[in-house]
Amino acid sequence: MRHKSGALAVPLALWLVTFLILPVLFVAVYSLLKRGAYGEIVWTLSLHNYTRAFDALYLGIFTKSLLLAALTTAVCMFMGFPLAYTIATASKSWRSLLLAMLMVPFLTNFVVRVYAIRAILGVEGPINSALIFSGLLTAPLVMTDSLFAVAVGMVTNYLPFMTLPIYVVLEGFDFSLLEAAQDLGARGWSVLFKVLLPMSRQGLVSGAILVFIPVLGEYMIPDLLGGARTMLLGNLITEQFLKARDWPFGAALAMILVLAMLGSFALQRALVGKGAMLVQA
Amino acid sequence: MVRGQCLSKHKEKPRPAPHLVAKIITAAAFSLLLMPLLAVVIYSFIAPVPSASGLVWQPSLIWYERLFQDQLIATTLLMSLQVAAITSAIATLLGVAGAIALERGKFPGRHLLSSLTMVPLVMPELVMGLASVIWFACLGLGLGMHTIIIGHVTFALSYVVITVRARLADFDISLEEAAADLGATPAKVFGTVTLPLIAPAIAAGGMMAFTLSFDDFLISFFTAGAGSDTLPMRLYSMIRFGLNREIYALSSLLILATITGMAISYRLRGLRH
Amino acid sequence: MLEMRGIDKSFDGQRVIASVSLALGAGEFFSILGPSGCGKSTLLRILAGFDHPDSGEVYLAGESITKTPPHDRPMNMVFQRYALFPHMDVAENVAFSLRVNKVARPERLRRVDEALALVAMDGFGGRRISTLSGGQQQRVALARALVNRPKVLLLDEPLSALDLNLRVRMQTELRSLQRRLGMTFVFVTHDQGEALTMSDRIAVMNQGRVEQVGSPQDVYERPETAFVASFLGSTNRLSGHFAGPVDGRSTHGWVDLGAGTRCMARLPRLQQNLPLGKQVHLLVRPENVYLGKGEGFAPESTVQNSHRNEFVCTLCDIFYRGATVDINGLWQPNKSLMTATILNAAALPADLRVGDYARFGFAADDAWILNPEGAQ
Repeated sequence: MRHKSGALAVPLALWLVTFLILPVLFVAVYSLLKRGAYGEIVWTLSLHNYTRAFDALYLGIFTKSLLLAALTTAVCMFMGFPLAYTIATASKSWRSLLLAMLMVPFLTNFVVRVYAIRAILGVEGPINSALIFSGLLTAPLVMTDSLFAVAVGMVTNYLPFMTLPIYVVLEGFDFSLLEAAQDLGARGWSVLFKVLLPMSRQGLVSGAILVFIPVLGEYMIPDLLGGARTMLLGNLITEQFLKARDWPFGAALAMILVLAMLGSFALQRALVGKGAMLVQA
Repeated sequence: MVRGQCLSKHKEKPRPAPHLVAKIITAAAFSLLLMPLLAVVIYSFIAPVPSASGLVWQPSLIWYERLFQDQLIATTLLMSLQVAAITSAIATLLGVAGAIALERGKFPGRHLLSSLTMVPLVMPELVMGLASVIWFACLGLGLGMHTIIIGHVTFALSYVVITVRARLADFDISLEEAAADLGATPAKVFGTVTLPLIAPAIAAGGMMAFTLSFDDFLISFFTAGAGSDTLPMRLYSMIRFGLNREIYALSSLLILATITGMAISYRLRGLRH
Repeated sequence: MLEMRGIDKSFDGQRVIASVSLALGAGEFFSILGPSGCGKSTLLRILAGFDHPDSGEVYLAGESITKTPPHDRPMNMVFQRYALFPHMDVAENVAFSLRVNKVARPERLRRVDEALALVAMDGFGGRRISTLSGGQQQRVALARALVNRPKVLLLDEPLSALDLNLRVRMQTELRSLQRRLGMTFVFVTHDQGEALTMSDRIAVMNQGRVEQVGSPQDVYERPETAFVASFLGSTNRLSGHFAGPVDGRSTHGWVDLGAGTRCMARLPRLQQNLPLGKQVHLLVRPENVYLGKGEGFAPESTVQNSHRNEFVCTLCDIFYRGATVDINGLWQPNKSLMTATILNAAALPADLRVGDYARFGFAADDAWILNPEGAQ
């Protein structure tokens, strides 16, 4: 009780320092190093990697990744909010069912889910089959291996991450506030934009963070759905580690990603204030 | 708790129904989420069969047969299960101890440690994965099952700590005081009162750690050495490097496993109340 | 037998208990009464060992137990919300302290049955806590605290969660239980009616200090501070200036109420050194105020040989409360409101109306002069 010292926390603290803090610090250190001609590490500190990162070559990748992340977040919000609202306002029994329906994809293996998108959009998939069968198309539409497929994959996979925080906020929401607004003369859309959305701000911002950052750093979805031509930030970073063997450069790119993450937290704080905390998993 | 208070909690005022537009979007969202999974399951049960008029699609269990004969699948499944079990054990031990200290203890650096525990939740997996790789290289630690476990425990810890801390925060401390008052030493209080009452949260945390570890792809991708692939990694290879219809069967089984797991945990929670 | 000396406690810089010293005898039903936030629960927790005093000592049978941890103190507590272990059934809850003290099984079972019978909960052994009503849970908590035969039983507002009828019933049961067991009970409550009904002695607390300790009669009829007077029962409060002691007697004094009116009232022990002219309160309980109508009407007074203070007031309210009638009268000269609680409505003149003049009176022995700043 009161007497409990920090002794119990020591193993936890040691583990986190050893396997989380130090590694990340090393990434920061690595990002300042250089790759030598034969792949060895040259221990001279410089910001060379960072300046290289902003080359025109890579800038295109950054822009594409940012835009895709923003688009995904926006679409997820657009779909996720009504979804969360429907679940939160359903009757008790329906609510459990709808939540279960949301949780099944959420808990299903990530790789499986991505593969399922590929199956759906594939040349022999149900969409193409249906279009050909109904005569609207003569040859199948190639939808996979494209940025479009990546976008679909991102939205599908991250929609639950957006929906759950919003749901949690709406679940505890005092709906009599909406009735009060209507009583005072506000109509449909006004109630939505003037009362409901502002008050669900915390859930929306949490959801946005849970979507935007991971999407920025996504590797598998662009890799499996985007084909050879699609290169996003996640692929670029991974490539430095697997193919190019330029760990310092990859580290620098990763640090840029971390900075983006910290930036969005600052933004979250500004938008919602100190009370906001990421919704518990 | 007086019974009267209990009853009033269960009656809930009906909430305003969603607009038609919201309902349409909801239907679209659920289709988007569930159709792909449904398609995979359906495809796992049909196969092309040569016939007089060319290839015809018929119901078949052939992909499942091939799946069960695939040695590599069996190996990677075993690897995933082992990794998940060990990860769960380590993460639960460290996490429960840490949660108790964080929630109940008073020591310097408590707030710092608390924030630190949340870092894996927000840090992109990619960064954690490559940070681990760099670190292991610097330590001269070869990659293998042990490094996968280390990587998994690091992020599973956060979930265990959150789950157990939430339960501890909810905990009625007067129960512990009553036990002490009646003569139990602090150790006995923990054993006879605290532990039994937080046991469900510990179990939930442990199961979550297991599931997260089993499902993980990216961290495993970075931290596995040659020959210690996990199941999601194998699945990824199969998808990337060939059109192999066994994938449908494997995916369907994983979906089934998820649904079963959810049903079991739902049942367990129902039993508690 | 149980003694606290010079207990001081602060939380976050806020003084919660200020130099409290109390001495309790064996077999006493002792109540600590006060409003929420006065420190009474903290005092109980210090007795139980859950909180440590910043200074001061606690003694049990002459030995200091200030540093003893709760599990080593021969005292048990009944918690406000019972704190019954939800994962054990009734019998296991009651048996808890016996198990911890490694009492043998047959003995344990016997004593559990005994304890449950004591609180009229026989046969409930196998029931789960969640199936019990509030009153039943309270009895189980009681049985659990008694089964180990502690020297002192601490009760932290145990009846506050019960509804009125049940609460009244439990008050009687607790009192008779305590008498039967001959155990010292320390009972914390904010309900003055409860404290008055059940206690041998009451300590009235306010803002961390004990303002008065005495029998229920003492604190009710002879309050030593304005707080005690107003916390127990209701009271009329008239403002005036101290006009000196009544000649020859140090126990009574005069209060000048203005408009040429002087009242005689008791001077409590602690107020002996009041300076002349000091602003004071004159306290008299409504049930001690009698009523007469018109001029010259002198009703029967039960207080013989006591100076009677009388005023002519305008009736402004008449509240019929079933067993009693409350009548409010306004004394014009300084706009003081006086309430008289008449216990026998039939004794009142039948044609009493709001706006009538009536004579309000009270005996000097029923009134108190108090320094509005408190006991010091």
